[in-house]
Amino acid sequence: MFPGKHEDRRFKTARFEAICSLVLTVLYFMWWYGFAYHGTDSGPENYHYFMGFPGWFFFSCVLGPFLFCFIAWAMVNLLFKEVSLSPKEEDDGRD
Amino acid sequence: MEGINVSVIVPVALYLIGIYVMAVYCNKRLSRSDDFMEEYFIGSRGMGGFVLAMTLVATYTSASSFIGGPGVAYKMGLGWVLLAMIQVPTAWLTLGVLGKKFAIVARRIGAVTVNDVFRARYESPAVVIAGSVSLLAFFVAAMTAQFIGGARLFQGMTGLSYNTGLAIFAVTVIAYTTVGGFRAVALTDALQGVVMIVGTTALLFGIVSMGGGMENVVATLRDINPDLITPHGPDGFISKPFILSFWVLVCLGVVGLPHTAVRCMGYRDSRSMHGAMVIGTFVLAFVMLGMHLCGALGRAVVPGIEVGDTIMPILSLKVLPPVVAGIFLAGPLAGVMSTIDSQLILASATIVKDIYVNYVSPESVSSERGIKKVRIMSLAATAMIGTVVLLAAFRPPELIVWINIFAFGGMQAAFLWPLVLGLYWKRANGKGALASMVTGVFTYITMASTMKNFMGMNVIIPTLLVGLVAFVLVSLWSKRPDDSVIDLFWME
Repeated sequence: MFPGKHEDRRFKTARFEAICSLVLTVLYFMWWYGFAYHGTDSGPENYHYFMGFPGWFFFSCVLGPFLFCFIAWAMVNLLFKEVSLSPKEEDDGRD
Repeated sequence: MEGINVSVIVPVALYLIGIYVMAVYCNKRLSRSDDFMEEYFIGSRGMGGFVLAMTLVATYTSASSFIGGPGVAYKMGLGWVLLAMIQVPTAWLTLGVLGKKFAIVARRIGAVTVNDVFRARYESPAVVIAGSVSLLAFFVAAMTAQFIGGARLFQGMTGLSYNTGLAIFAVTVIAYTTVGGFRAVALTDALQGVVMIVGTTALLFGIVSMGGGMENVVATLRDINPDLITPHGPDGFISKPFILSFWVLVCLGVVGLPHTAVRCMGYRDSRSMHGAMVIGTFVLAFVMLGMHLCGALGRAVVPGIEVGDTIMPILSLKVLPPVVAGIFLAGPLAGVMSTIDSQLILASATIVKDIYVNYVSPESVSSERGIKKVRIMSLAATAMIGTVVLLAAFRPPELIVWINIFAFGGMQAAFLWPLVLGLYWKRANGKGALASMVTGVFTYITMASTMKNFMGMNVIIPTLLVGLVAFVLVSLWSKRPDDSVIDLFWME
């Protein structure tokens, strides 16, 4: 369709990174949902406590976000590529 | 809360002065700049990682995160904190999804607004005009809510009247945004982000120590009402369909907010973006957890507060020493200001760049005199929109959190699909985008005003579904985009 034209490799990188970000969001959702609703329907009298918080709250809202900050850091460092942002793709792929 | 509280006013005044100084510095940069519009509306794309992270978080955390949200948490308990934590992914999600592609395309076409990108992608004046109109309408609603929130806070803590508080607060925001442009907005956002973190920490620490440790505070909550420490809230108010629909409204849909999206094209290099994803996530998680937890736990320390929006100011005055309370007040004030400023500058850019320069007088950017005129118009537009919103806020409605959520949903209805599909679906075209915007906004407004929820969910769910279906069907039905567009958005 476009003789002599290739897809800009940086846009492939961007698409891959967008998918990674979505996947990480899904993982966070599963963590958040799993801990928030696991065993909490039985009522507060059966709760366990961690650091003063009800267990579901500690894992879902305190530990979870902290952990995912770390995972986000790992994702960016391991999977994301540094690319130039200039209008045309350059050979070295660096700023 | 009789009389004027001097020891609270002093730290706040110092803080406001600091902001004015920043604005003057940015104005100096502005007068030295070669390209006025690039500098005024996007800060010449120079944001580093820390500033990008802070401006993203500060723009996103608004009056509802600091005043409305914690106010509801006070009534609903830990379940509402659970709802607030849905927002944790927004920093990595917005930057990750729009991120590099948006930044590169914006540089290719010299875009300074989201509508600029639409103009290049969809080649349709109707899309740009629909975008501009909905942006202005929803921004005015959102900014009004923010102004009211800021003024209430000012009133509650300093003892000045609502109108005086509103005037001081609003004039500060309008002045620094008008004078300094995007650079001032981003820099003050960074400062405001830091102040928010300090304020959150102070208040949380104050509440927990006053309540005699976390265990005691939670035990007191349980004694007031055991439902306060469950994820379901009192009387099961926070039902699963309700809370799950917020995943769309305050997490996934946030990608479609134009004032956060525009930040995704204003950063310096990909290293800044990577840094911002990590720092932004951390700060956002911390501030959201801290603020809402303050609201929820505050009920154990200061029970019996009735009006939702006054809970945070009352709480901080009771719990903190006055000077520290003043510093704390600066935190939420910062959250509010930093949302208004970014909406203000983007609204101004919409009027000047998307409407005036694009369609009224395209030749104005090619002559010396025309550029001067655009300069004056930009400053005037910023000041004028600010004033309109200020006037609207003099007669405040009751609970600001709902106005804000309404405007939030409206923007997503208009912008989410055209943005995301425009970047990642080659077949998306102007007719599809227009259909999606029109049906989305229409569905949202009718549903939001006629029914409270849709089968237990927030109305944003059916809205976005309708918008998506309209987009896909109409795009497939009409002709594919020109090769030149595909070139611009996909090829090297």
